[in-house]
Amino acid sequence: MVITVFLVLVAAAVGSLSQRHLISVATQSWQKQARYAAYSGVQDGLEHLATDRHWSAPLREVPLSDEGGVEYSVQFDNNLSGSEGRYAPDNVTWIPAGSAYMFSLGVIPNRASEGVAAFAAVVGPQQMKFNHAIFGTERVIVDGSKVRDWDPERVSEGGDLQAHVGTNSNTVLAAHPSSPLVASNGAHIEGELRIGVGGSLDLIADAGASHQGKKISDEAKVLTDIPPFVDVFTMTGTLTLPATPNRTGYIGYLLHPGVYEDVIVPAGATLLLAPVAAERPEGSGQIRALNTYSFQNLTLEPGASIAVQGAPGPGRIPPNDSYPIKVYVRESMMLQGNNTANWNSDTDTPFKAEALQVYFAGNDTRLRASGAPSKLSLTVAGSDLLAELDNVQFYGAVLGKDVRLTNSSLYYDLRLRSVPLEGVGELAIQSLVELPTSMAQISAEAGGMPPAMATKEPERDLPEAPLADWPGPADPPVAQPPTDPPVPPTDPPVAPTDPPVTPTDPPAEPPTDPPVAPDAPHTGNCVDCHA
Amino acid sequence: MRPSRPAGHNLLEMIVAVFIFSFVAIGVVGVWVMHYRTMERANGRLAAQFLASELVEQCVAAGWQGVDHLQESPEVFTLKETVRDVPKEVEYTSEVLVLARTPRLKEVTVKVLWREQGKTGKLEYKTLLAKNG
Repeated sequence: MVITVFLVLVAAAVGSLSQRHLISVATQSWQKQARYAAYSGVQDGLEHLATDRHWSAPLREVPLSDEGGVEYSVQFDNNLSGSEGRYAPDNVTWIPAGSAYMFSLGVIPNRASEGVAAFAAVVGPQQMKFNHAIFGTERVIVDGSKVRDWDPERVSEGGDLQAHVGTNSNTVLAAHPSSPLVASNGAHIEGELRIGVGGSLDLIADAGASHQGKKISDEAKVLTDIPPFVDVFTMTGTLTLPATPNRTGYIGYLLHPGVYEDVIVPAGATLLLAPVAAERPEGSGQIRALNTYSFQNLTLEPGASIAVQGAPGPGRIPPNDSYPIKVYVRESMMLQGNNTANWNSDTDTPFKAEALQVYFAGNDTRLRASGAPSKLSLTVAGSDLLAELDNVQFYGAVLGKDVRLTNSSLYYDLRLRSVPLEGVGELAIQSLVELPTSMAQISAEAGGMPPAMATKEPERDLPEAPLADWPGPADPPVAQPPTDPPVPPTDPPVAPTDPPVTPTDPPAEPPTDPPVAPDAPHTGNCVDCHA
Repeated sequence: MRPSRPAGHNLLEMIVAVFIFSFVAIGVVGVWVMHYRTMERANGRLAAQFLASELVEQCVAAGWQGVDHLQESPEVFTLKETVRDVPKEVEYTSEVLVLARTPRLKEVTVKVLWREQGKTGKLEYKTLLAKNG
């Protein structure tokens, strides 16, 4: 009897053991399925946000497959168009301005106690850098040109094989049946050659060209949009600059940062771009650097130049790493030959390319350099840009949709590798955190809402860094009447035949009826600007 | 005075005792066999889970742009083990299927099939991969 009871107990124990083991294995499987479902929710949420940046409607109980069995739910807190950061509903995750929060819960229905998992993610636009010498999302042509890196510290060309040239395209284009990336007619490239995923490396044409570096097939981050620059100072019409500077001591004709329509720099003239310190927002008492220009069209006639060296005068700041000149072009920038940009003509060497950043904002934008040889030191970027550079000595980087370099030399400034671009990249996951199963279970019981955790003190965005290297205006914060306005009158629009002011021919009086907001631009601490 | 009953069990008692003992012993052996098979099944499933999970993680690591290259014809893995000096081999067949749900969203299905104890086991994991996800 004792033996029998003992055997029964043994049998019960063994049976229970095997049942537990089986349940344990099954639970692991359910948890994995739930985990992948939750991950799928994050991916689906990203897809919704990429399609519609204003998306905030929750996705509820979406089956992962047609057969059902596992499903996910996603909650959004969309701050992509927000101007201030805030906490997510979990009270812990900080959602910076320009980002979105997603909470995804994966569940196996009827087994929510075992098969459940959750992810919290923050999504934001990719931050891109000038990490290519030339990048064209659709096509790059390097014809009879050389692309090398340039180290200004060693004052040496080449050797680092960092002048990468690439495209995301992997399809053969009809116009250039050989390749989306063409290097031909004695072209020489020192850096990676990259084409899109799935593209054959054989498509990288090498006929008559030489190349040092790797060939790779991969997808690079791309610039999807550059929002147009908006400023309170707007000037319409065509402005043809005079050939002489508008102030004694200036090396060119200084334009104030702001929005212009068409600007023509005639032969022999120099367009001088320089940041200025001003109070922004007006009345805030905060002194900031204004360093951005916007042009509908910018034309440099043969022999014309662009200079960005710091202009003399109160309130002017030399462009540097913190305050480069940023130029937004909405349609085209034409260089008609024998032009220089950001170039030291005394030593015949380039200034730092980073100091002049040209962004093409809008569709079907175009950069064209042609004619006699030009010397340029700048960076160029545009999501829908056709850049045609012919016969140029170019220091910097060019990122666009279709980039064609012919009979030119492009030197990629190695300092650009860490320089971020302006503009908006594609949305990507910035952070992804898997929640513990216990938290996921709490969330599942709460209908898929993210579990609230300990409340934190609200955090505030750090204020924009004040000008560190600028001591402030001489007489802050009083607005000073311009004694010698650097910009031409803004109203009425300057006609091409009506030359703007020069130092010897100042405007009779400042514009009394500015073309934009009545709260006249550039007042406050703006020391050296028009009223 | 009645004569005392001789000590011991009669035949009927012995038969009943042996019957009960045999019944319980057979039950125990049955449970043991069932336990062995269950463990074998669970181990098989565990190995399949591990394999499928590894493949899904590979797909996630490859991301939206690289996952297509993992989509190949079914691959066979053989798991060899020796239990009490008896070698045993189990074949697992894995397959990765990628389906474009939208231009920016792909559905990845990882299937693992294996045969054990005369039956075919099947495990399937699914996940989605978005561009830049």
